[in-house]
Amino acid sequence: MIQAVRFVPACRRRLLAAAHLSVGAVVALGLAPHVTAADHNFRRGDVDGNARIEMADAIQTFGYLFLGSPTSLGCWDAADANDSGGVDLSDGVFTLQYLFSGGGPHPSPGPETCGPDTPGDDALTCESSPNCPDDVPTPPAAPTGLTAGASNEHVSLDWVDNAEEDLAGYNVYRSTTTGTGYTKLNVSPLNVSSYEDSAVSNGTRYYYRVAAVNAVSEESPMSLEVSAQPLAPSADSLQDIGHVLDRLAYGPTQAEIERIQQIGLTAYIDEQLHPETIDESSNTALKTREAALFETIVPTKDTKILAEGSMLRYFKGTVEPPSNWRTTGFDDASWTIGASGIGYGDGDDVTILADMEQTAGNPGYMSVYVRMQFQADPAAIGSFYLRVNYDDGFVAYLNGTEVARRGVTGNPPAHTVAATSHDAEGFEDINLTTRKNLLVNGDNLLAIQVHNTALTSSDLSMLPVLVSREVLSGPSIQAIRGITSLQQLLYVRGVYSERQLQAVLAEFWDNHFTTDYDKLVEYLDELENADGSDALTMAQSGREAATLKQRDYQFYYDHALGNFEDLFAYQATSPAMLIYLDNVLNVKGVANENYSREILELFGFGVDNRYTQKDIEQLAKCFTGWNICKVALEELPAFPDSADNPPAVCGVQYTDKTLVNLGAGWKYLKGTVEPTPDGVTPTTAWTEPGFSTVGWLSGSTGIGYGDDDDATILSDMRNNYVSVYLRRDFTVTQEDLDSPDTLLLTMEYDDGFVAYLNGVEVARSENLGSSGNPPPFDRITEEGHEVSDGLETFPLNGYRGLLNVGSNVLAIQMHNTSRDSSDLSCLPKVVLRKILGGVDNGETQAAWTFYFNPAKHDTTAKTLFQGTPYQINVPAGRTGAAGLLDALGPVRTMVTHPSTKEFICIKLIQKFVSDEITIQTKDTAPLPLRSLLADCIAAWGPKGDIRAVMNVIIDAENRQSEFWSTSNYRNKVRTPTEFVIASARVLEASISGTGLADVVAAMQWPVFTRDEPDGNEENYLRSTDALKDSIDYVQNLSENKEAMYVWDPLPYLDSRGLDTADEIVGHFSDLLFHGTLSPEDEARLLEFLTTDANYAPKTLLRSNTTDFRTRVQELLGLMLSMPQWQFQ
Amino acid sequence: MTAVALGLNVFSPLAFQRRILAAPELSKKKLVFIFQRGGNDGVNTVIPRGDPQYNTTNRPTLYIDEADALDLGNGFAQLHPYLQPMMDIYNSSSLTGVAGPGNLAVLQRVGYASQSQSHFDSQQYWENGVPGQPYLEEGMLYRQVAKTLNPTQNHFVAASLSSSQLVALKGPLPLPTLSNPAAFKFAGSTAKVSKFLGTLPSAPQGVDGKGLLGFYGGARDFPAKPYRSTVYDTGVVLADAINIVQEAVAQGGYTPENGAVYPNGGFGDKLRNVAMLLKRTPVQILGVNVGGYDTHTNQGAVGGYHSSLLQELAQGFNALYKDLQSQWEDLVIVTMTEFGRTSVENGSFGTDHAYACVVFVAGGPVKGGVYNCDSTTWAAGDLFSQSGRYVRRRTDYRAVFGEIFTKHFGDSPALLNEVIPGYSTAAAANPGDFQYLGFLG
Repeated sequence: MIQAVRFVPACRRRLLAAAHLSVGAVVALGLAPHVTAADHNFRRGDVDGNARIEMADAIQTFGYLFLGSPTSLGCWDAADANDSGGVDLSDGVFTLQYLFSGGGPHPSPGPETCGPDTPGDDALTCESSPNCPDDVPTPPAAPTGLTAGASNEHVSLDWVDNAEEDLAGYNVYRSTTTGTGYTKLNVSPLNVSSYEDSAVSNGTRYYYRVAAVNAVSEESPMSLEVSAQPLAPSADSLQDIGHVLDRLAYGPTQAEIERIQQIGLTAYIDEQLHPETIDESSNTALKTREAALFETIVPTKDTKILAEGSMLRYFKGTVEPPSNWRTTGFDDASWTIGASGIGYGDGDDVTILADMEQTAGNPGYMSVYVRMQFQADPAAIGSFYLRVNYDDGFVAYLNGTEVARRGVTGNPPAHTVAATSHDAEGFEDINLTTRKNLLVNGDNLLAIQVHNTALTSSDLSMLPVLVSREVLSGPSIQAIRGITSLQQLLYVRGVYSERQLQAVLAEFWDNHFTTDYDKLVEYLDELENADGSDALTMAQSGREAATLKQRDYQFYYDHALGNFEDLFAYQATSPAMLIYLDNVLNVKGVANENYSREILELFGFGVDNRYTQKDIEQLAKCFTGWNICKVALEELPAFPDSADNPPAVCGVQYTDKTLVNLGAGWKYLKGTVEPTPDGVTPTTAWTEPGFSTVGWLSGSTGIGYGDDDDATILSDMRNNYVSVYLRRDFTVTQEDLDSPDTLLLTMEYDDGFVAYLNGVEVARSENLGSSGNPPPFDRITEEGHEVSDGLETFPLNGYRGLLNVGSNVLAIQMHNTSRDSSDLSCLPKVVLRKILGGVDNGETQAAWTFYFNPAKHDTTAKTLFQGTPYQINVPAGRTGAAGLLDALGPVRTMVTHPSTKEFICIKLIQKFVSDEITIQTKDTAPLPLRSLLADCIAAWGPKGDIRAVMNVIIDAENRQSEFWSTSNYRNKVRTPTEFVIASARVLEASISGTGLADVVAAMQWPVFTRDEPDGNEENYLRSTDALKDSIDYVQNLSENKEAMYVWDPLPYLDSRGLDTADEIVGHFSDLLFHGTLSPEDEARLLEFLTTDANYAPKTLLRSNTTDFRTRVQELLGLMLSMPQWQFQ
Repeated sequence: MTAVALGLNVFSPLAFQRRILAAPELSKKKLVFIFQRGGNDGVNTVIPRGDPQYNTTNRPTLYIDEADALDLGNGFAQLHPYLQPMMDIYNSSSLTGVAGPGNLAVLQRVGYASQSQSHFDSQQYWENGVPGQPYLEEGMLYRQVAKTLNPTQNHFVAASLSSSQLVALKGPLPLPTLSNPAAFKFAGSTAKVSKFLGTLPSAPQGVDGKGLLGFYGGARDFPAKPYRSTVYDTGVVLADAINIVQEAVAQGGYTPENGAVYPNGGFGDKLRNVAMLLKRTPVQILGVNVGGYDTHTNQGAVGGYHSSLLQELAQGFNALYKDLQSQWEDLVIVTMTEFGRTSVENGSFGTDHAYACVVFVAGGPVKGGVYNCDSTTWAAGDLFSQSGRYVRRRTDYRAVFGEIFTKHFGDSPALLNEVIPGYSTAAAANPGDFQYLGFLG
């Protein structure tokens, strides 16, 4: 065998020895076609093959048995005259008896006819039987599994053995043109399934096909074509190759080492610096795994036929309701009015059933019956869904017919039936499209009986929504399945992509401009729609947060080797970043400095690198008014438009008509007694129209005390009474009543309240959720609530039926959180909100984008970096959209500030060369590193040309440069992400599913979920705890203990022909450590592999499969746990 | 003995020998430190009630009324109401119920000159003890351990209850970290783990070791290159620390004493393990992180977000106080945080990064009381004594730890100057800041 390139001593079969066998996926295990035990024709008893049974046949058998006669029994089956499965004395005797004493006949095929032995009959063979031809030969099948491996002036071919018994060999054909012009290379057929072609020139691509030939020179069809291009050997050392793969890539693989040995490091680095030239379209291992992390979202539009907050009537299940309660004809006028959703506990209900839970003195009840009228036009409905968030069980009826049920039995379930447990943690969509026929044009009825798990249960919820879903015509989109899928994407690219440098840099930039997924979810989950409804479920918040993170990561991936200016302007306007560092809260007058500090300290200049606290404060003012909003998917601007020309109008637009405003007109009563005639019994009489307010005081809202936000001060409230009762008459016109606009109560309050419209409870703060109905005058709230917690919106649309043309009453009882509380406030408004259009926060067929709000922007003059040569004067008075430039201008200008050049170049040098230069040591670090920094800064250019800087750092043309210095070889520690990917890559483990990020997070290296803004530390030294976690990982990996990464040493080693302890240790020592392990270390590994649990010698045998596998697995667990494997 | 402990028997002779050696001479004193990450709002923690600038104008949503806060008895300072569980320590020196002077020192206005308002830098300074050197990855407490507690003999004399090492305990000799004692072991059968771990070489960095310890304790590749000793030593310390911790775990479930109740959640769980390890292992210094103090938005009034952080902290102190009575006289518990927060509330109902902050010190040797927050030292308007925005320091944090190192651990002035490099120079430059407060008598 010709070894064009070796990097190991020849005495052991090591990594490269098996190289030509491993090129390509299919590799033959045996090299020579061997004859199988089947099928040659013979005559039984005709030992000498002369087509006759005679004395000589018996004599030849006896001669073989007694004399050790060298005569070849070429056909053992013929000699086995009695077909006993062996050749012995009885065979000769059998033939003699046949000839002379009427014995026989010989078993099939007998002495008269030619034929094969019964297949599987015995182990005897028949290599030849003259005068007894086999069946008429047929051409062999085309050979399969052809692979071609190129090296210096040499091509190695290998293919799978053909199985035909009459195979004479193979013909090899070559061409320099694909598909045509083939000439045969061999003279006579080859008797092995491999071919070494040395009559080739470097640089030419050769195409090969092989055909099989049988004994009568018939040729099979051609195999599939393969090609190879021999190249001059690279002079690169294994250490240099290993160094490059450890730095530019996520560690070595045997295939990459061998490829670099062929094309050379210079070409490899050039490829990596121009990832667009690497064709990954046929990298199915990558593509299928990437695709599995995304889901196809077909664009749809949901229209709510029955929305949250709609009016309902309910009946408490203290007794069984009339049997026709769920039919359209039932008169529910006596049932209580409420708004959807209904329930108690856990703060997610609008209509609160305060007496449902059994407590001392209150028997409680198990079920509640709900009826909701809605308008529908069945012809206009697409797919039809019941979208329901529920706790615990229910049966839903549409116009009297059951259409959905969860967690309860019985037909119908009696009012006392308990449900199985279910928590209202998000909406479930129940497809009712097949039940659309139950709908009528006009008035319809959704009736639901809701059941609890027990009378003493702490909560119950029913929030039903009816949805018509229309499929839109636009193209479907690919969305990341969630944060765990996004995390896995980083690992999938790390393990499988050939664009390794791009993957490494994408991770680097994302970590540099770090944002925290969890904070995004929290922010999105708290958003409301303009109509006061909760905009996004927790699940949808998670999806949108993951999409925001995915957009950022993909941008950094796509621009990994582009301009820093693009990255810098992108991250400043990234919705994820705007949320993460509170720039969405940064408004005129009360600037939030969080982001402006970090863009200087962490993203641009580096800590304390030529900026001051004043610069942070000034820059924060520049960023005021920066925010995010939603636009329709098709209107989502791409960068740089998204930064330079954010939409002037986005989100939802609305106007309010105020029915009850802040200000005068209120009557109020201090809660020293119940506001009822007897002063003792809590009732809602005081909330009804016509109630006499004689003796009540007059005032304006806000009403309360403390914290300076009240117009009417209750100076005697503290330590005296905990509640106050308020009433205000207001006028509603017929036009208001008919208005299609949304009726809302908006409240700023401290601490809790219950609000009533014309005597009916319509809204209640969560902290009075189970405080009675109505809460007594002396009741305090369960938790505090502050005006500063923000304005809350309560939908009243469900209660429009309560309004009268003319005079109406809004009544509110306010409660404090303690008698000695320092404040109380009530700032209510009732409005009719007209939605003018746009995309509301809860719209799912929409995307978040950067939005600049001139109304919140501070237009005063600002000065940055004052008194330095890089002073930036931001002029006053940039009103309107021009105010965007106040910050966007400086962001772009900062790209060429010396601090930015220095900081980013240092981080890249640290990443790829050495940690021994920092912002602090930039003037004292080793001279070669300082020179490298100067060269990088010189290559920076006007926009921060990352590829140019990388070209300087990894200078393939100048092997004297710092990257190649021996002092920078293996002088860095793998980060946990690098360690996890490198370990999977080097074993060629198959990764699937999700979860590698969890392994890394345990080592304190959160991916996409780091809550601190400084990014994960690149020179991360493992603590003992993290070292233990990384050892756990590599043991699980090598021992194949987890489904998310799969590795079996047997195919890995067998395909490379490695089966002795020496070969195995040598192979992995070279692969992992580039031949730098000491002889003692290798000896220690060898000892580990060739001893039992007590280190007593125990030979490693490939034939003992189970033991062999286990010991190799434990060896790899140890090798990947070695301190040396932590270095790169 | 558990299977795990059996599996690690290869170390037992070494560990035994080590403890005999480690026993005499060394200090028996113990220290637990709690780092409040993010910058705790000291004004909302120890309220300078006597400063008229503490009012609803400056702190519209954060202001706590006098009647709601806890009286500290000096007519000036108050504790946040949710720190009520601290008052058991403040009011009583032991569980005997003898009233006052108490074992909780409340230190206001602790900081350092040229305060950094960067989380990263300032945390680094508090931990490495050298303001101005953000990249010094060697901790102040590490140096105390390395110079006085012989960590190369006793690999478990100091540890972090954390997955990653706290900078305060970081240094060239790795000290153990563990997030959960029960899970701090290797997987697999006794025989497998035993072979995998192998044995240390007979001499340091020798070649005759076996398995994992043979590599980590053996000759180093490229020994002159960075990180070698840390990486290699970490493996040796890991194996030994596992042995010690699993011996402690094998003693069975842990029941806190004296009715101590640790707060629910990760912080409380860590403190519970602190107490267990202090009782069952030779550990003397333990560090714990608690996060969430970067309250830029919606910090909350009484009952709000910051309140719950303080409550968790106070419940933790209270539990340690009760549970560790048996070693209370040898124990000091101290808090750290990188900076205080702005005296004026910001527009997002929170506070931003500022200067001086609050430190709590508890323990048997501690002379309780309020320091730096009384009418004789605090003038009206001192809430804005720094840059017109922040609380200015009166005591350098190095003097707080200087007092602990000299009076609790018995360091000489010369040794203190090694544990806190530049101590004497800094003290000469700002003598007032380095006056010991006297909380250790």
